[in-house]
Amino acid sequence: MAIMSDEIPQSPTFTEKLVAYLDGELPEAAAREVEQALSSDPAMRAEVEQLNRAWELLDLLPRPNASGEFSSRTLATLQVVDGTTELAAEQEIAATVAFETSSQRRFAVPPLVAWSAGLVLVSVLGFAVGRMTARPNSDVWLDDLTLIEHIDVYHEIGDAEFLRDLKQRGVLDERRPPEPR
Amino acid sequence: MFDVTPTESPDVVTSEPALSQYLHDPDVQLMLRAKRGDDAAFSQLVENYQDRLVAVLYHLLGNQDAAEDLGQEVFLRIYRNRTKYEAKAKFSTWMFHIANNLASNWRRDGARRREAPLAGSDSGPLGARPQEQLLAEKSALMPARVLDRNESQMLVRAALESLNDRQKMAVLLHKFEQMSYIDIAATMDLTPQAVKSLLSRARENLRAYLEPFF
Repeated sequence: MAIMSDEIPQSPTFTEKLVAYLDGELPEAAAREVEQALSSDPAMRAEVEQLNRAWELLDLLPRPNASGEFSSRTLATLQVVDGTTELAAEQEIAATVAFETSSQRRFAVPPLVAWSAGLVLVSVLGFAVGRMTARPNSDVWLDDLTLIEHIDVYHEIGDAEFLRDLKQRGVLDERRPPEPR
Repeated sequence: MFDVTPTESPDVVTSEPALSQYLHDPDVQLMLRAKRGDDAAFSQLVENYQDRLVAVLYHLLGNQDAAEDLGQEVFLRIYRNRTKYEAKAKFSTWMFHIANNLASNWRRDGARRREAPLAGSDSGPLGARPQEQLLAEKSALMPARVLDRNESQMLVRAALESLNDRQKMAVLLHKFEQMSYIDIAATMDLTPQAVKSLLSRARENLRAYLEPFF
Protein backbone atom coordinates (compact mmCIF):
# COMPACT_ATOMS: atom_id res chain seq x y z
CA MET A 1 0.00 0.00 0.00
CA ALA A 2 1.36 3.40 -0.96
CA ILE A 3 1.88 5.90 1.84
CA MET A 4 0.12 9.21 1.36
CA SER A 5 1.01 12.38 3.23
CA ASP A 6 -2.65 13.01 4.03
CA GLU A 7 -2.45 10.02 6.36
CA ILE A 8 -0.35 12.09 8.76
CA PRO A 9 -3.01 13.87 10.81
CA GLN A 10 -5.48 10.99 10.82
CA SER A 11 -3.56 7.80 11.26
CA PRO A 12 -1.48 7.04 14.32
CA THR A 13 -0.26 3.95 12.51
CA PHE A 14 1.32 6.18 9.90
CA THR A 15 3.43 7.94 12.54
CA GLU A 16 4.24 4.54 13.99
CA LYS A 17 5.48 3.49 10.59
CA LEU A 18 7.58 6.62 10.19
CA VAL A 19 9.05 6.22 13.67
CA ALA A 20 9.74 2.54 13.06
CA TYR A 21 11.42 3.53 9.83
CA LEU A 22 13.63 6.04 11.65
CA ASP A 23 14.42 3.39 14.25
CA GLY A 24 15.38 0.86 11.58
CA GLU A 25 12.63 -1.47 12.77
CA LEU A 26 10.65 -1.75 9.53
CA PRO A 27 10.95 -4.79 7.31
CA GLU A 28 12.81 -4.11 4.08
CA ALA A 29 9.72 -3.87 1.85
CA ALA A 30 7.93 -1.45 4.18
CA ALA A 31 11.07 0.65 4.52
CA ARG A 32 11.29 0.94 0.73
CA GLU A 33 7.68 2.16 0.64
CA VAL A 34 8.45 4.87 3.17
CA GLU A 35 11.53 5.95 1.25
CA GLN A 36 9.53 6.25 -1.96
CA ALA A 37 6.88 8.30 -0.21
CA LEU A 38 9.49 10.56 1.36
CA SER A 39 11.14 11.21 -1.97
CA SER A 40 7.90 12.50 -3.42
CA ASP A 41 6.27 14.23 -0.45
CA PRO A 42 7.85 17.36 1.10
CA ALA A 43 5.32 17.46 3.96
CA MET A 44 6.20 13.96 4.95
CA ARG A 45 9.90 14.80 4.77
CA ALA A 46 9.27 17.75 7.10
CA GLU A 47 7.42 15.45 9.47
CA VAL A 48 10.27 13.00 9.53
CA GLU A 49 12.77 15.80 9.90
CA GLN A 50 11.03 17.14 13.00
CA LEU A 51 10.68 13.72 14.57
CA ASN A 52 14.32 13.10 13.93
CA ARG A 53 15.44 16.44 15.27
CA ALA A 54 13.51 16.04 18.50
CA TRP A 55 15.06 12.60 18.90
CA GLU A 56 18.56 13.90 18.30
CA LEU A 57 18.07 16.59 20.91
CA LEU A 58 17.90 13.81 23.47
CA ASP A 59 21.64 13.51 22.98
CA LEU A 60 21.86 16.63 25.15
CA LEU A 61 20.56 14.69 28.13
CA PRO A 62 23.21 14.20 30.76
CA ARG A 63 24.33 10.64 31.35
CA PRO A 64 25.71 10.71 34.84
CA ASN A 65 28.11 7.95 35.76
CA ALA A 66 27.89 6.04 38.97
CA SER A 67 29.92 7.67 41.72
CA GLY A 68 33.44 6.41 42.40
CA GLU A 69 32.30 4.51 45.47
CA PHE A 70 29.34 2.83 43.80
CA SER A 71 31.19 -0.29 42.79
CA SER A 72 33.06 -0.78 46.06
CA ARG A 73 29.98 0.07 48.10
CA THR A 74 27.85 -2.35 46.13
CA LEU A 75 30.39 -5.15 46.36
CA ALA A 76 30.81 -4.52 50.09
CA THR A 77 27.04 -4.78 50.50
CA LEU A 78 27.08 -8.03 48.58
CA GLN A 79 29.76 -9.38 50.92
CA VAL A 80 27.59 -8.44 53.86
CA VAL A 81 24.66 -10.18 52.18
CA ASP A 82 26.84 -13.17 51.48
CA GLY A 83 28.12 -13.13 55.04
CA THR A 84 24.61 -12.76 56.31
CA THR A 85 23.56 -15.67 54.16
CA GLU A 86 26.45 -17.79 55.40
CA LEU A 87 25.78 -16.68 58.94
CA ALA A 88 22.13 -17.52 58.50
CA ALA A 89 23.11 -20.92 57.15
CA GLU A 90 25.45 -21.47 60.10
CA GLN A 91 22.76 -20.34 62.49
CA GLU A 92 20.37 -22.69 60.80
CA ILE A 93 22.81 -25.55 61.18
CA ALA A 94 23.48 -24.56 64.79
CA ALA A 95 19.76 -24.35 65.43
CA THR A 96 19.30 -27.77 63.89
CA VAL A 97 22.08 -29.23 66.00
CA ALA A 98 20.70 -27.54 69.10
CA PHE A 99 17.26 -28.86 68.30
CA GLU A 100 18.60 -32.38 67.85
CA THR A 101 20.59 -32.15 71.07
CA SER A 102 17.64 -30.81 72.99
CA SER A 103 15.47 -33.52 71.48
CA GLN A 104 17.96 -36.11 72.62
CA ARG A 105 18.12 -34.47 76.03
CA ARG A 106 14.36 -34.34 76.18
CA PHE A 107 14.20 -38.11 76.01
CA ALA A 108 17.45 -38.89 77.88
CA VAL A 109 17.34 -39.83 81.65
CA PRO A 110 20.13 -38.40 83.78
CA PRO A 111 22.15 -41.11 85.66
CA LEU A 112 21.32 -39.73 89.12
CA VAL A 113 17.60 -39.93 88.42
CA ALA A 114 18.03 -43.45 87.06
CA TRP A 115 19.88 -44.61 90.17
CA SER A 116 17.32 -43.00 92.46
CA ALA A 117 14.47 -44.57 90.57
CA GLY A 118 16.25 -47.94 90.77
CA LEU A 119 16.67 -47.63 94.53
CA VAL A 120 13.06 -46.69 95.03
CA LEU A 121 11.98 -49.61 92.89
CA VAL A 122 14.15 -52.05 94.81
CA SER A 123 12.87 -50.65 98.12
CA VAL A 124 9.27 -50.98 97.04
CA LEU A 125 9.86 -54.52 95.83
CA GLY A 126 11.68 -55.44 99.02
CA PHE A 127 8.91 -54.00 101.13
CA ALA A 128 6.29 -55.88 99.17
CA VAL A 129 8.19 -59.17 99.42
CA GLY A 130 8.79 -58.59 103.12
CA ARG A 131 5.10 -57.87 103.67
CA MET A 132 4.19 -61.07 101.93
CA THR A 133 6.70 -63.30 103.74
CA ALA A 134 6.96 -61.77 107.23
CA ARG A 135 4.63 -62.86 110.01
CA PRO A 136 2.67 -60.19 111.79
CA ASN A 137 4.16 -58.86 115.09
CA SER A 138 1.05 -59.86 116.97
CA ASP A 139 1.75 -63.53 116.13
CA VAL A 140 5.27 -63.27 117.57
CA TRP A 141 3.91 -61.73 120.80
CA LEU A 142 1.32 -64.47 121.14
CA ASP A 143 4.00 -67.16 120.71
CA ASP A 144 6.05 -65.60 123.50
CA LEU A 145 3.10 -64.75 125.71
CA THR A 146 4.06 -67.28 128.39
CA LEU A 147 7.62 -66.03 128.47
CA ILE A 148 6.41 -62.45 128.68
CA GLU A 149 4.08 -63.27 131.54
CA HIS A 150 6.94 -64.84 133.58
CA ILE A 151 9.66 -62.46 132.60
CA ASP A 152 10.01 -61.05 136.15
CA VAL A 153 10.54 -64.56 137.60
CA TYR A 154 13.11 -65.30 134.98
CA HIS A 155 14.92 -62.08 135.83
CA GLU A 156 14.95 -63.00 139.55
CA ILE A 157 16.37 -66.48 138.87
CA GLY A 158 18.93 -65.11 136.45
CA ASP A 159 20.34 -68.58 135.41
CA ALA A 160 19.02 -70.58 132.47
CA GLU A 161 20.62 -73.84 133.76
CA PHE A 162 18.98 -73.50 137.14
CA LEU A 163 15.66 -72.81 135.41
CA ARG A 164 15.97 -75.96 133.33
CA ASP A 165 16.68 -77.89 136.56
CA LEU A 166 13.62 -76.42 138.26
CA LYS A 167 11.49 -77.23 135.23
CA GLN A 168 12.65 -80.87 135.24
CA ARG A 169 11.72 -81.15 138.87
CA GLY A 170 8.28 -79.66 138.18
CA VAL A 171 8.77 -76.73 140.51
CA LEU A 172 7.77 -74.14 137.99
CA ASP A 173 4.47 -75.86 137.22
CA GLU A 174 3.24 -75.33 140.76
CA ARG A 175 4.79 -71.96 141.53
CA ARG A 176 2.95 -68.77 140.67
CA PRO A 177 5.07 -65.76 139.98
CA PRO A 178 5.06 -63.29 142.87
CA GLU A 179 2.81 -60.25 142.72
CA PRO A 180 4.72 -57.09 141.70
CA ARG A 181 5.40 -54.85 144.62
CA MET B 1 7.81 -6.41 48.26
CA PHE B 2 9.44 -6.53 44.91
CA ASP B 3 8.29 -9.41 42.77
CA VAL B 4 11.33 -9.76 40.55
CA THR B 5 13.44 -12.85 40.61
CA PRO B 6 16.01 -14.00 38.10
CA THR B 7 13.74 -16.75 36.91
CA GLU B 8 11.21 -14.13 35.91
CA SER B 9 12.95 -13.51 32.64
CA PRO B 10 10.77 -11.64 30.20
CA ASP B 11 8.41 -13.59 28.02
CA VAL B 12 9.91 -14.82 24.82
CA VAL B 13 8.33 -13.11 21.87
CA THR B 14 7.69 -15.03 18.69
CA SER B 15 10.63 -13.64 16.79
CA GLU B 16 13.05 -13.83 19.68
CA PRO B 17 16.21 -15.83 19.05
CA ALA B 18 16.60 -19.32 20.39
CA LEU B 19 17.66 -19.80 23.99
CA SER B 20 21.12 -21.00 23.07
CA GLN B 21 21.87 -17.70 21.36
CA TYR B 22 21.96 -15.95 24.71
CA LEU B 23 24.90 -18.10 25.67
CA HIS B 24 26.97 -16.08 23.19
CA ASP B 25 26.30 -12.93 25.23
CA PRO B 26 29.56 -12.40 27.14
CA ASP B 27 27.63 -10.92 30.05
CA VAL B 28 25.45 -14.01 30.20
CA GLN B 29 28.67 -15.98 30.47
CA LEU B 30 29.81 -13.74 33.32
CA MET B 31 26.48 -14.30 35.04
CA LEU B 32 26.74 -18.04 34.60
CA ARG B 33 30.20 -17.90 36.18
CA ALA B 34 28.76 -15.87 39.04
CA LYS B 35 26.08 -18.52 39.40
CA ARG B 36 28.83 -21.07 39.92
CA GLY B 37 30.28 -18.94 42.72
CA ASP B 38 32.78 -16.80 40.80
CA ASP B 39 32.50 -13.47 42.60
CA ALA B 40 35.10 -11.88 40.34
CA ALA B 41 32.73 -12.44 37.42
CA PHE B 42 29.95 -10.70 39.30
CA SER B 43 32.26 -7.78 40.13
CA GLN B 44 32.99 -7.51 36.42
CA LEU B 45 29.27 -7.30 35.68
CA VAL B 46 28.91 -4.49 38.22
CA GLU B 47 31.80 -2.66 36.59
CA ASN B 48 30.34 -3.18 33.12
CA TYR B 49 26.84 -2.00 33.91
CA GLN B 50 26.98 0.45 36.80
CA ASP B 51 27.18 3.60 34.67
CA ARG B 52 24.57 2.45 32.17
CA LEU B 53 22.18 1.44 34.92
CA VAL B 54 22.63 4.60 36.96
CA ALA B 55 22.20 6.82 33.88
CA VAL B 56 18.83 5.26 33.04
CA LEU B 57 17.68 5.27 36.65
CA TYR B 58 18.79 8.87 37.05
CA HIS B 59 16.30 9.99 34.40
CA LEU B 60 13.60 7.65 35.59
CA LEU B 61 13.80 8.75 39.21
CA GLY B 62 15.04 12.29 38.85
CA ASN B 63 18.10 12.31 41.08
CA GLN B 64 21.49 10.74 41.45
CA ASP B 65 21.21 9.45 45.01
CA ALA B 66 18.00 7.58 44.32
CA ALA B 67 19.48 6.24 41.09
CA GLU B 68 22.52 4.86 42.92
CA ASP B 69 20.46 3.41 45.75
CA LEU B 70 18.17 1.65 43.33
CA GLY B 71 21.08 0.61 41.12
CA GLN B 72 22.66 -1.03 44.14
CA GLU B 73 19.37 -2.75 44.90
CA VAL B 74 19.23 -4.09 41.35
CA PHE B 75 22.68 -5.68 41.71
CA LEU B 76 21.74 -6.95 45.13
CA ARG B 77 18.67 -8.68 43.73
CA ILE B 78 20.69 -10.26 40.99
CA TYR B 79 23.38 -11.42 43.39
CA ARG B 80 20.96 -12.87 45.91
CA ASN B 81 19.29 -14.94 43.24
CA ARG B 82 22.37 -15.81 41.21
CA THR B 83 22.14 -19.51 41.93
CA LYS B 84 18.68 -19.61 40.32
CA TYR B 85 19.77 -17.74 37.19
CA GLU B 86 18.80 -19.14 33.82
CA ALA B 87 19.99 -17.67 30.52
CA LYS B 88 16.56 -16.89 29.12
CA ALA B 89 17.45 -13.41 27.82
CA LYS B 90 20.36 -11.08 27.26
CA PHE B 91 21.84 -10.04 30.57
CA SER B 92 21.11 -6.35 29.89
CA THR B 93 17.47 -7.10 29.07
CA TRP B 94 17.08 -9.02 32.27
CA MET B 95 18.88 -6.43 34.39
CA PHE B 96 16.78 -3.53 33.02
CA HIS B 97 13.67 -5.64 33.51
CA ILE B 98 14.49 -5.81 37.21
CA ALA B 99 15.42 -2.11 37.24
CA ASN B 100 12.12 -1.18 35.59
CA ASN B 101 10.10 -3.07 38.17
CA LEU B 102 12.06 -1.63 41.06
CA ALA B 103 11.73 1.88 39.64
CA SER B 104 7.96 1.41 39.26
CA ASN B 105 7.72 0.38 42.90
CA TRP B 106 9.91 3.29 43.94
CA ARG B 107 7.75 5.77 42.10
CA ARG B 108 4.64 4.34 43.72
CA ASP B 109 6.18 4.78 47.12
CA GLY B 110 5.43 8.41 47.81
CA ALA B 111 6.92 8.36 51.28
CA ARG B 112 10.27 7.23 49.98
CA ARG B 113 10.16 9.85 47.31
CA ARG B 114 9.65 12.50 49.96
CA GLU B 115 12.67 11.20 51.84
CA ALA B 116 14.86 11.76 48.80
CA PRO B 117 14.28 15.38 47.85
CA LEU B 118 15.46 16.48 44.46
CA ALA B 119 18.35 18.79 43.91
CA GLY B 120 17.35 22.29 42.91
CA SER B 121 18.14 21.86 39.25
CA ASP B 122 16.86 18.32 38.90
CA SER B 123 13.75 17.40 37.05
CA GLY B 124 11.40 15.41 39.21
CA PRO B 125 9.62 12.17 38.62
CA LEU B 126 6.36 14.06 38.63
CA GLY B 127 7.37 16.43 35.88
CA ALA B 128 9.69 19.24 35.00
CA ARG B 129 10.97 21.43 37.80
CA PRO B 130 9.62 24.99 37.94
CA GLN B 131 12.91 26.34 36.64
CA GLU B 132 12.62 24.17 33.54
CA GLN B 133 8.98 25.03 33.05
CA LEU B 134 9.76 28.70 33.39
CA LEU B 135 12.50 28.45 30.83
CA ALA B 136 10.25 26.57 28.43
CA GLU B 137 7.50 29.16 28.79
CA LYS B 138 9.89 32.08 28.47
CA SER B 139 11.64 30.61 25.47
CA ALA B 140 8.37 29.79 23.77
CA LEU B 141 7.60 33.49 23.73
CA MET B 142 10.90 34.11 21.96
CA PRO B 143 11.15 31.49 19.25
CA ALA B 144 13.98 33.26 17.47
CA ARG B 145 16.13 33.25 20.57
CA VAL B 146 19.17 31.02 20.40
CA LEU B 147 19.41 28.82 23.46
CA ASP B 148 22.76 28.07 24.98
CA ARG B 149 23.71 24.50 25.73
CA ASN B 150 22.58 24.55 29.35
CA GLU B 151 19.22 25.98 28.44
CA SER B 152 18.81 23.46 25.64
CA GLN B 153 19.68 20.69 28.03
CA MET B 154 17.10 21.88 30.53
CA LEU B 155 14.46 22.05 27.82
CA VAL B 156 15.20 18.54 26.66
CA ARG B 157 15.01 17.30 30.21
CA ALA B 158 11.69 19.05 30.61
CA ALA B 159 10.51 17.42 27.38
CA LEU B 160 11.53 14.00 28.69
CA GLU B 161 9.77 14.69 31.96
CA SER B 162 6.61 15.50 30.04
CA LEU B 163 6.39 11.85 29.00
CA ASN B 164 4.64 9.28 31.11
CA ASP B 165 6.74 6.68 32.91
CA ARG B 166 6.35 3.96 30.31
CA GLN B 167 7.12 6.27 27.41
CA LYS B 168 10.14 7.57 29.27
CA MET B 169 11.48 4.10 29.98
CA ALA B 170 11.02 3.04 26.37
CA VAL B 171 12.77 6.19 25.14
CA LEU B 172 15.68 5.74 27.55
CA LEU B 173 16.17 2.10 26.64
CA HIS B 174 16.03 2.90 22.95
CA LYS B 175 18.14 6.06 23.09
CA PHE B 176 20.68 5.18 25.77
CA GLU B 177 20.85 1.42 25.36
CA GLN B 178 20.07 1.18 21.64
CA MET B 179 17.66 -1.60 22.47
CA SER B 180 15.51 -3.06 19.72
CA TYR B 181 11.73 -3.07 20.00
CA ILE B 182 11.89 -6.76 20.87
CA ASP B 183 14.33 -6.20 23.72
CA ILE B 184 12.36 -3.22 25.02
CA ALA B 185 9.23 -5.36 24.90
CA ALA B 186 11.00 -8.08 26.87
CA THR B 187 12.30 -5.56 29.39
CA MET B 188 8.94 -3.91 29.93
CA ASP B 189 6.66 -6.96 29.65
CA LEU B 190 5.04 -5.63 26.48
CA THR B 191 4.57 -6.86 22.94
CA PRO B 192 6.82 -5.43 20.21
CA GLN B 193 3.72 -3.84 18.67
CA ALA B 194 2.93 -2.12 21.96
CA VAL B 195 6.49 -0.80 22.08
CA LYS B 196 6.11 0.49 18.55
CA SER B 197 3.00 2.44 19.55
CA LEU B 198 4.59 3.60 22.80
CA LEU B 199 7.67 4.97 21.10
CA SER B 200 5.61 6.56 18.37
CA ARG B 201 3.52 8.46 20.89
CA ALA B 202 6.62 9.36 22.89
CA ARG B 203 8.34 10.81 19.84
CA GLU B 204 5.24 12.73 18.86
CA ASN B 205 5.12 14.21 22.35
CA LEU B 206 8.79 15.12 22.27
CA ARG B 207 8.40 16.78 18.92
CA ALA B 208 5.36 18.73 20.12
CA TYR B 209 7.26 19.90 23.20
CA LEU B 210 10.47 20.83 21.44
CA GLU B 211 9.18 22.05 18.09
CA PRO B 212 8.94 25.70 19.17
CA PHE B 213 12.67 25.70 19.82
CA PHE B 214 13.82 24.15 16.53
